[in-house]
Formats: sequence, C-alpha cells, structure tokens
Amino acid sequence: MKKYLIASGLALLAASAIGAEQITSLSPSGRTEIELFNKAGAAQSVKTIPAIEISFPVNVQASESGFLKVNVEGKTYWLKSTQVRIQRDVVASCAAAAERAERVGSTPGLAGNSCK
Amino acid sequence: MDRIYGKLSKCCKIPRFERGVSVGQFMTALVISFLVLSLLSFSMLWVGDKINKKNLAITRYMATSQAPLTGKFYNNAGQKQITVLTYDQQFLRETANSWPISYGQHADWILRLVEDENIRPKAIFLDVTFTQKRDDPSVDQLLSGLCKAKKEFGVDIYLAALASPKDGRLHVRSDLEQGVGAGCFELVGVNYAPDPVDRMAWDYPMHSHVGANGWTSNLPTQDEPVLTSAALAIANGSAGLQAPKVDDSLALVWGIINEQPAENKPDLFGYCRYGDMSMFRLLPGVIRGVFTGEDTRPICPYNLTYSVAQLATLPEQQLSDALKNRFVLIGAVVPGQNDLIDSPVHGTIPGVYLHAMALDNLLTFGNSFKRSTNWDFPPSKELLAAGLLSVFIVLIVHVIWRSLTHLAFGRGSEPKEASFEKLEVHQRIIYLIPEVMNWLARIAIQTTVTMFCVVWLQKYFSIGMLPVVELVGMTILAEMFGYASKVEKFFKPPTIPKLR
Repeated sequence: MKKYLIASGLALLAASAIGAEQITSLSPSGRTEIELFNKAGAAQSVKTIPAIEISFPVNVQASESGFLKVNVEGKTYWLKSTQVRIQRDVVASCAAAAERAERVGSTPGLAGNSCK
Repeated sequence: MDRIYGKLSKCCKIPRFERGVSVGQFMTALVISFLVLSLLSFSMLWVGDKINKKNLAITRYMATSQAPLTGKFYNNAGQKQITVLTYDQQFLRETANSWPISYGQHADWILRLVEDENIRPKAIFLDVTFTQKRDDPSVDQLLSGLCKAKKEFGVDIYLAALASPKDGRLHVRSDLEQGVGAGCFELVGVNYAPDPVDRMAWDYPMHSHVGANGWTSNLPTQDEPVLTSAALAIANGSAGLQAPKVDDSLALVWGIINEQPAENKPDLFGYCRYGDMSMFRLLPGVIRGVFTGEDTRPICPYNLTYSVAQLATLPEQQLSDALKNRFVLIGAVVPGQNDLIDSPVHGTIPGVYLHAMALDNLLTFGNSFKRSTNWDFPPSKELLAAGLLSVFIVLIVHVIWRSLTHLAFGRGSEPKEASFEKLEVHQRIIYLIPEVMNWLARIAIQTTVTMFCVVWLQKYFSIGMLPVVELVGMTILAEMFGYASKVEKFFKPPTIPKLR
C-alpha cells in the first residue's frame, strides 16, 4: 500500500512539475535506497526510502547547491544529485565561446554562476 | 694569396653533386659548409640570448609550429588511462551551484566515483587546493569521504596542496590535513613556472623545493623538504613507475588527437576543434595559410574530458569506459579563476591539463620521459648530437636541392653577378621571379624536412626538442639570409679598383 502511495505521489508530480529535468533512475543502478533531506545542503538525511518504491521518471521541481527538490508522499524533500541519474532537456545558457577559460585581471569574490 | 682565397671560396660554397667534382672535393666542401653553418647557428643563438632573451621568440615561433607536429605522432598509450573531470560552468549551471562548492559536495562526487565498482577509478587527483579555512561545516564530510575512498574502496587519493614558506612543506587546512597522517590521501605539489620567454608550458617540474628565493623547480641543495609534483606522485604511487629522484624537469610532449566522441563532449569544448592528422601540417604555417582554408579555432585539450555534471547524465556503460581503472584528475574551470596555462599546441587551457599531460607523458615514456635541457656550456652529449644532426639535415637538404635544380635547369640557373648587372630592369624582374620562387621552395622544404626529422629525433632521444628547434630556427634563418654566398664573398679575392 505504502509503495503505491509513493509511486502515485511521484507520478502525479511528473505531470505538475515545472522543471525540464527528470530523475530517470538511481545512480549507480545498483543503489537500493536513497536519502531524503529537508533542505538543500543539509548534512543529515531525514528519511531513507527503498529504490523499489520509486516510480520513475520523477520530475525535479528545483535545484540548489547540488540538491534536487522532489515531492514524495505529498511532502517536499531534497535529494543529492550525486545519487540519481538525470535527463536534462535544458540547452546551454551560455554561448559556446563563453565556456572557454580565459585570463582575467581580477580575483572573484563569492558569486553565483555567471551564466545565469 | 689569390689562390688561397680562391680555394677557400670554393670550399665554403654549398657543394652539389655534379660531373667533374671528385668525392674528396665534395666531402671537403660539405664538411666545411657544415662547420660554418653550425658555428653560425650557435653564434646567432648565443648572441640572441645575450642581447635580449626575447629575441628567442623568433625561434619559439618555429617551436610552436613544431609542437603540433610532434604531438601528431605522440603515442596514445597514456591517453587511454587518463580522464579529466571539470567543475565548470556546465556543472555550476546544471547543479544550480556557485563556486566554491561545499566540501561536502566534493566528498559526494568522489564517493559517486568510487562507490560504483563499474566506474571505480584507479586513482583520483583533486586539483583544488583547500588551503584557507572557510566557514563550511561539511569539511568533516570531505575528510571522511576521502578516507572512505582510500580505505574502503582502495582508490588512491591525491590532493593538491601549496608549499608553506615557513617550513617548505605542502599543506592544506589543518583539520583536513589529519587525513595525511591517517593514510587517507597524499598531498602533491601543483606549482609550475611558465617559460620565461613565451610563457608557454614547455616543462613540468618533477621535484621542487622552497628555498630562500621562494619556490624553485629542482631538488634542494641543502636539507629543505623535497616537494613531489602531482603527476610524478601519481605515476610513482599508482602506476608503478619508479622514477629516480633527479633534478631534471619533464620536457612536455603535448598530444593532439583527442578521439572523444563529439556527441558527448562537455560544453567546455564548445570553443575548440579536435586536432587531426592532416599532412598539410607538414608545411610551414605561412605557406599553409595561403593554400589551405584551415579551421582557425584552437585545438581541444588532449585528454578525455567530461564535466562533473555529466556523471549524472551519461549512460552507465559510457561512464564505465571513461572512468573504470583510470587515473581521474578533477579540476575547476570557473570564470574569474586564473588556474590556466598556455600550451604550445592548445593555447590557453585549464591548469588541470598540465598535470594530465605530464602524467600522460610519464605513462607513455616511463622512466625514459623526455628531460628538459638547454644550451648550457658544455651542453649534454645528447643535446649536442641532436642539434648537430638537425643542422646537418638542413645542409643536406640544401645540397640535394641545389644539385636537383642544377640538374633540371643547368648552369644557366645561376647567372654570374656581373651578367645580372647588365640586365635591364624588366629582365631583372623576369629573372628574379623564378629565383625568389626557388628560394622560397628551398626554405619551405628545408623547414618541412627538418621539422619532420625533429619528430623522429624526439622518438629516439630522451631529451626535449625545444633547444634543438631553437638551434634549427637559427640555422634556417642563416639559410634565409644566404649565409653561404656571404661567406663565399668574404673569401673571394678583393677587387682593387684600377686607377685611370
């Protein structure tokens, strides 16, 4: 019963999520469970669910600091992007030339992604 | 006196194979021409160096043309064992991150690599220096992640570190450095010194130390700690190389042909093209530019490269091919960070490729890696032999060219100076066109053949060919200025004007 609840919850999210990213499986494929966190960047997980209870693909609602926001059983959780395989439909937001490493005459402070 | 002048002038003229010239005469002329050309080349190199080191930029132009050619024939044994992963704009964008990422994320990605036995690398080098303390509680996660990677999964971990001027030893932040004592990872040196003339990365330091004048790329003369560079540490520690502790730097051979499938290349490679094996490269750049519509984009780095972000998107089989049992070097390519080097083949590229290429050289050549040398006095026997052989090749090509043009066009191809003076202007122009074409063709062929020979020499000599190319650059320059005819003129009997 619990399995179906999670699966149906995740399936519903697939239709409503606004992001173009989808989690297609756990990574590596032999991973048997996945940790869920209550916020991006958290050190300790709040929950662990077995891989078998997840119905893929799962849409990603948001990304932050290497974490992905998903909805499980009606609740919002974050999971680590290192533990899943992702399919992205996103095209590069930088021009190809802008990706090139170039010298600058300054020191960067802490800043976000310059391509955003 | 006239007789002596006459004999000398004949001797110093570039010989050619023709009827009426005895073997003895030919050999004498050849030996003297060789001695004069060698002496002239060395003198030009020495004077250029004394007057202004930047004069060597002329020869470095030739060296940067030579390097891609050598790279084309570089064995790809090392390339199959190395993969570069980059924290780049693609990574920051796709994981919604900003730089620097947390220590915990470094740990997560390293564990992502080692936990999966299908992609588990042989060794990981993290080319990010965690020297300064910053307020990030996940530093413990990094330490435990690195220890887990080494102790639980048996993957050798190498961490970039900077040498402290206080004790001359490599350090990272103190709470992380506990991992060294616990045997979790090894700290490795990442300093390097660009070439003083053209700022290119021709050499890679093997051992270094911090002396009175700061970091120096050789072994200490006193009891300062010896710093081992990243590539050497990985080659010795994880690839079974037992390189002797020598003072020499590694003369880098930069590879060109990157066979990474284009459809899976990282966004980082969007600006560049893959190097190819076009034989047009044998032509000197100036001539090649006229006759071929070459793609002018820079050549992509040599090593198989993926953005760290691609670890989450590539098919598992492809990840396995790219990472399993390989040496994985992880570097950062972040806008505003100047971790960049200049390769003579690829232009400005991220610093992690310096270590990757040095490791590639060590895996390819083993203990016979190319040693960096220069024209110190006295030069090494190997360098002298390679240099003189190259000068001789330039001369021999000239001799063959001269003999062939003589055979093809006969004596008429070289009119006497006196008869040239009698020609009208238009006749002079008509005469000069083939003369100039002949000169251009000869220089082009001399350059091409010599460049090809340097590739061959690189294979058999265990030294870097940069100083040899410098010498040959001067030899070609002497040939361009027609040194032989000037020497010949010098030995000709002086003409004393008659009094009327």
